[in-house]
Amino acid sequence: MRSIQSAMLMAFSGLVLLTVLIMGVVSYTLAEDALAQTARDYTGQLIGQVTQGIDTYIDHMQDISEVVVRNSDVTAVVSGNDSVRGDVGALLSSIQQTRDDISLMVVLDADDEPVFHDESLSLNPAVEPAQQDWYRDAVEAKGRSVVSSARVQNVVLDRYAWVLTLSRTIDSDTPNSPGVFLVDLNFRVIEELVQRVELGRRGYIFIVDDRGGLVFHPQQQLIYSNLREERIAEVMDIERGSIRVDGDGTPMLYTVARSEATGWRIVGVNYVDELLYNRTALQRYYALWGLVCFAAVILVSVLIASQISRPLRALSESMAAVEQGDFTSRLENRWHNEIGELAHDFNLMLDTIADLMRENEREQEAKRISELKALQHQITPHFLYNTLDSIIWMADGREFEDVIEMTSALARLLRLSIRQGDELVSVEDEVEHVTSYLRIQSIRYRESLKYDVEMEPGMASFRSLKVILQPIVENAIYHGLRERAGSGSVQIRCFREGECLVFEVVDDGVGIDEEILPMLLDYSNTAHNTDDRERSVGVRNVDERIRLYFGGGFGLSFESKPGYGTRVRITQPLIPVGEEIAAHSSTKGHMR
Amino acid sequence: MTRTIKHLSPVVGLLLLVAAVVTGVFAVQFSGEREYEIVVVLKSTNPEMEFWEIVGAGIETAAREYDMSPEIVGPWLEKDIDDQIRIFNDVIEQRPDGVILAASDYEALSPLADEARDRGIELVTIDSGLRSDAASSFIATDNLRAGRKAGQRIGELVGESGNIALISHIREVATAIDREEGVREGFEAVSPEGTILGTYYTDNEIEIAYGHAMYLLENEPDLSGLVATNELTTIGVARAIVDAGMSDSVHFVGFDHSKEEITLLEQSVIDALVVQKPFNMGYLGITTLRSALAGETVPEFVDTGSVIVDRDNLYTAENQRLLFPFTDRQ
Repeated sequence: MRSIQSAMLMAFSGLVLLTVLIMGVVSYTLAEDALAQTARDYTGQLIGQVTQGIDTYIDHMQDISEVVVRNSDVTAVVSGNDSVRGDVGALLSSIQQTRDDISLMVVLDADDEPVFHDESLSLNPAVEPAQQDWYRDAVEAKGRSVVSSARVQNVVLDRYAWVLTLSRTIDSDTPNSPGVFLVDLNFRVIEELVQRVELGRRGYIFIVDDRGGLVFHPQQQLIYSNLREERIAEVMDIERGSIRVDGDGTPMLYTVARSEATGWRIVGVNYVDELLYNRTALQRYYALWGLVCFAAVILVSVLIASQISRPLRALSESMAAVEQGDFTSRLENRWHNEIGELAHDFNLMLDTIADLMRENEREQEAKRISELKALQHQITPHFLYNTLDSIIWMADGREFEDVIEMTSALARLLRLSIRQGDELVSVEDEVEHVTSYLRIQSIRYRESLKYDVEMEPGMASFRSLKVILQPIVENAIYHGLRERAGSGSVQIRCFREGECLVFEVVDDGVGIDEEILPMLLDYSNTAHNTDDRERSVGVRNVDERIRLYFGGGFGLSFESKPGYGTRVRITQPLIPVGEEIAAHSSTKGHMR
Repeated sequence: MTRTIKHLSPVVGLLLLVAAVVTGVFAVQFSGEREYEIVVVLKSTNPEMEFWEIVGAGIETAAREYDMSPEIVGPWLEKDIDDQIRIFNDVIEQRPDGVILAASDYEALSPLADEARDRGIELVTIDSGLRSDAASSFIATDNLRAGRKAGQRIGELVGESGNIALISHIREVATAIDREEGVREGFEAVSPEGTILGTYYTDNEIEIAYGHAMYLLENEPDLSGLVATNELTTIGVARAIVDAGMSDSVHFVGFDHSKEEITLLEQSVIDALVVQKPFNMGYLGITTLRSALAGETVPEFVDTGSVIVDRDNLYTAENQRLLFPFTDRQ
């Protein structure tokens, strides 16, 4: 059986768990989305700043190149005036020395003769400048500046350096053979610009040019060594905005911005789990509050459930006590709700039941007493009439001796019968009572009735319910002996058997049919004919009285053989004179 | 009261379960990984040795990426085998979690490697292997294949019946043994009529290489090709060719790619270089050791590969990236 309390608890906690889960998941998802959007916007801003910084930087380098290209000494050198080569070298050197991000500045004249920012440098003899990409791109751009992707500069003897090369043509007197100005930028400024921005702990920024060539990548060497791959193809597909990329199972967010001055794509790479860097905090927060809510509801549920179930349990315990027969218990009523009403009604009901029971007990007692009285006196009028009738007849026939004897026997009989109050009499009195009766009857039946009364010595002082032998004897006479031809006899014996007092009434009458015998003491039986009923009334009265008084186990038993007679045993407990209380109270107990 | 507890127990159980799960999740999140103590024993710590500098760059890149701080040790010169044995011995005494070793000698370091393994030190070898099988992984150029490339190229350059000589760095080191073998195989396949006049050892010193080469150039008129098996040997031989003024008459294939070698390649003194990937060796050394320490299965041998570079393909995008480590840009 599942108690209401646990059922309520289960229901409450299930419901709350579900609610907390749904609410948690929904609001967590919303919060996560908001967080992701914020992070995306923020990354977009950061990348925008980097792009702006790079544009400014490249614009600045173009301004510098503009200064050089427009310089009159430079144009003079390009046009073949070698006398100012020193001045051009000094100009380049002065610019280079103010900026540590410029690793090389060269002016190539129309014949590709170089002027370096540093006099000690010389052209790598193995390299033909006109065959280099930066040279050809500059010529193709017709005066505009071009910026290469990351490349190894090998134009200087004994120097190989990764640089970005900005190149442009310088107008000269000889058309079709312009001079070329070259600035190599190391990655210091770009690195600074990029490193100023942090995209989480592992996020980074890389730059590709519009041909997909890598300009800058924090792990450039790893990519060049084929130890790492970068999703350049995916980045080249979009102009700007962000895409989600699966980086070997780790979701990553690529945010792309386009540099105006160079056409480069500046790409911010975020690890999505870092982008939501406070996602774990968020998760923890939600988990914690979910738990707190859950615990609180469980606590409240326990309280409410016990509020309801405790009085119910008290009620049920009280009912169990009543079930066990204890009608005295009452519920302590301290609840001012439906349960309180129930307890009140329950107590009221118990009170009523107790009243009813007391009344019932009284009624039963009264009924019993009146029944006993009635049974006890049932015999009297009928017999008295017959006896008096007999006396009248005897007196009429002047049989005075018999009249005297009969009358004195009747007097004894009546004396013993009318003694009021006590229901228990001595065995002696009871025997005397039946002897008087037998005397009267034997006179009436003119000696055709013989009788014998035997009593074991010492039995006289025990006690017996009064008027129990007489109805049995009467029954034996009227139904056993009177039906029989010739004279009959009745024997009465009184003896002790263990802790029982036994009377035995034996007649040699016609006996009782086997079919009728079991019905004699059957209280519920009403089916047999009037004669049988009459016959059984007296006998049953005696049995009933004994049972009422002493309880089951005592009473009558019959033994009969048709044609030979009947033996009736009357069993009562053995009660010495002066002792009757115990037997009496046990009777009462039985009545319950 | 007992009844109440009995009825509450499933709910309480549920609560406890939820609490336990949450605590567990948090605990896992908070428990950080232990930092491993790692020592790298190289053949040379001389910064002039560009090959080992690039290996070091690879190691540092990986270390930065995985938040590790390996200690890099080694003798000053590659030929100091005894020095490396002593250093490796000290490292073992120090009982680090893992060691990356570039062995200067195929035989001599093997007993120590066994001891390191017996002491529970995780060992990964790079560049040069050991007779011992103590290392859980060996990360190197497949030197037999690299040698074959050099042999084939010199064969193609000198023709079917050319005579060449082999200038090798150190007699007992695994890289030299394999490369010599490879050169022989490659050369014989391309030049069945050709002869290898001899193999000369240089103790990994430029001067000795220079001496051998100069002697050969002056005294072997039939010599039409030379092969050198590592960086310093290549430089020594190339200098001898320059000094003998024989860059046009003698073909030369070398190994590795220091700045000087590349200049010599641009100047046609060297016809081709077999280029290894030292950065990858260093980088993969760290990542492989890290995996091995974490209990993952690691490959027994990782070939980092080699490429043959000549004047024609020197400045292709791929070779630029390989020859000029980006880390050296400043």
